[in-house]
Amino acid sequence: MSRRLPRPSVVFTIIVLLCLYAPIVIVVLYSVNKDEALLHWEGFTWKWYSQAFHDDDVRKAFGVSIQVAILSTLISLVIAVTAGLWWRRASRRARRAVDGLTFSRIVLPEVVFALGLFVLFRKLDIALGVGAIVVGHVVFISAYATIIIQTRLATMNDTLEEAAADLGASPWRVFRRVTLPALAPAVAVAALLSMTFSFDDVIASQFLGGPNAQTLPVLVLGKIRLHLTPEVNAIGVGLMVITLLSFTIAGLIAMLRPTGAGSVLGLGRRAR
Amino acid sequence: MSAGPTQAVSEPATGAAVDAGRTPAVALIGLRRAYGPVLAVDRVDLEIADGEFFSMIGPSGCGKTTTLRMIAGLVDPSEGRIEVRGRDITRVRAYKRPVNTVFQQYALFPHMTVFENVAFGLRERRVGRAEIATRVAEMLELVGLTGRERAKPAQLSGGQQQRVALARSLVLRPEVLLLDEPLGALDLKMRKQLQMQLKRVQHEVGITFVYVTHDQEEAFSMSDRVAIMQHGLIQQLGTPQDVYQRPVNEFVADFVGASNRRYGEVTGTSAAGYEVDLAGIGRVPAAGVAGMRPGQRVCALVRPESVELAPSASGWTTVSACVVDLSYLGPQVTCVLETPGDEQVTMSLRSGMIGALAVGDTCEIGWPHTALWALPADPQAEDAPAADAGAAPE
Repeated sequence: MSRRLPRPSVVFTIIVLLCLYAPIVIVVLYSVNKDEALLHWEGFTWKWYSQAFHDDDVRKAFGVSIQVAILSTLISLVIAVTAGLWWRRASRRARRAVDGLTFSRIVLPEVVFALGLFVLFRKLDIALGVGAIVVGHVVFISAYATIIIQTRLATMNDTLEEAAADLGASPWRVFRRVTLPALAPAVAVAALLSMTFSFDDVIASQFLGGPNAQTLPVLVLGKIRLHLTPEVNAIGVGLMVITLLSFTIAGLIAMLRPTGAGSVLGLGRRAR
Repeated sequence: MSAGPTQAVSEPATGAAVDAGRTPAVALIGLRRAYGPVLAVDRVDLEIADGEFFSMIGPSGCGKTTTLRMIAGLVDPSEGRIEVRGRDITRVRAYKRPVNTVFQQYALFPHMTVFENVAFGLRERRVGRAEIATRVAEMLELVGLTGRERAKPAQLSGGQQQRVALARSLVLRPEVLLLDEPLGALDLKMRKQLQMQLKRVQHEVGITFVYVTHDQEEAFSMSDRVAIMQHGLIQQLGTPQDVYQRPVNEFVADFVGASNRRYGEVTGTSAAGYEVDLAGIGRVPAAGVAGMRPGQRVCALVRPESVELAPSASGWTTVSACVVDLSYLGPQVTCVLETPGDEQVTMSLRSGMIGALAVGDTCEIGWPHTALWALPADPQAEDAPAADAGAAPE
């Protein structure tokens, strides 16, 4: 009896997974490698993490990244919830028009609108920096957030809101006491994803940050251009951990609560 | 009205339960709702008396729910007026109307406890805390849910959820309570129980109930009056007895229960009202809708339970018939017979009355003159097969 060979599809999958994850494994390994030249394994160290942690440039860039992420997330959420609520009551034609606008912001190459904004800001004499990056991020982040909120709203029954109105709640009170609580998990997921996307972004941040506002990914990009230091690996791992963490929390919320985001994230049970 | 004494002839009983001079709890005047070219509600004129249990029934799409939602303020009428206790509320927003609704899917707020659900409307009305606590407790007792205050809706059975929904609306002491198929999602046994409970609660609180259902039996068992709707119009308005015994057209006759049907024409008058000439039966006395003239095409109905075996009294119409089928249903036996002219008649008898009757036997059957009810024939329906009495009501 000959041994069964693994099926080609299995082999293929393993190769693909290796190619995808090997770089990540290498980054993690090298972030704790003593060898400064990144050539051989010379033993375990936290040195690079400590160096990154005490690097003023890194601290400043981290501050910028956080600032940008929070601002662009807040603005995107307001846009997404407003657009979602309007979308629910809009005519079919108006919906289609807005859906087109939303999807185009996701589909369009980021370089194109980042460049566009860059030129526009120059023409209007608007300074590049945190504000400009936030605008750039909001363009595409708000689109993702809108889709998550819309998906949840589409699965929500009007009856609860009708019942609240019937019981004497004014439109604003209906929103506060019924719509928003039902929407809360979706808003949380949208917020976490928005932060992640903003935190990871390189292109818009690069175009719109100018000389004074560097986000963390942009800083990393700059650093490897000069020469590859082990510190970059440590920063990279830090970025990855933050991203994974917020993505995991978003996934957990999507699994436990009806958010409608399951279909976007590919996670969780279908919202009722 | 040359055709017969009035007692056997139905008046289109629009105002029967509304005292002249008293302001009705709800008045709908020329109410209409169009969705594009589709008329959901064509024209509804209606007065519902204070404290009445009123039902609107009809097949789906007949306009009953749209009418209810217009009273609630959840749908705007295209035309017409809505008054509650004489006050025009047509343009008043839903949350400011003195009416409350119990929805078919309960519509309880899933993130709130039973207590919070019932307290919802009171909080919106800025009622004080202590009063909220007392009124919610009172209401939960009324619907038999004391002790479940802390439960979330998802932890309750369908019947319990519906009782929370009822309590949530009643606690606001609305002038009118609207109920949109509130028992539609429940199983039969639970439905029967809740029907009794609804009737009792309505009696205790004395609030006007406007109830929408497609279930004729459910409406009949609870209502003071019913409106049968079709195509956005009220086909007939009256007490359940009125509607069942004296339907004004074939749609109503069909909708409220099974009947034996024959077509024919009016030939004159009799002590019962009219004399009609029916296919396969001949000239017989019949009661009927007011105002029909000799020569008019009619549809004559007799309910299966009005048909009896071997009647001998005067004032009865008798025909001889041959038994084709017997079905034993426990307390009742449904018997299908063939009368001269190859037409079938369904007869519903108490089991004890059946005796030695068997399939193939020939016997005499009959009905009281006044149990035969004539109404103007629907020219389209007349071409369709006449006897559909076998079809049991839902």
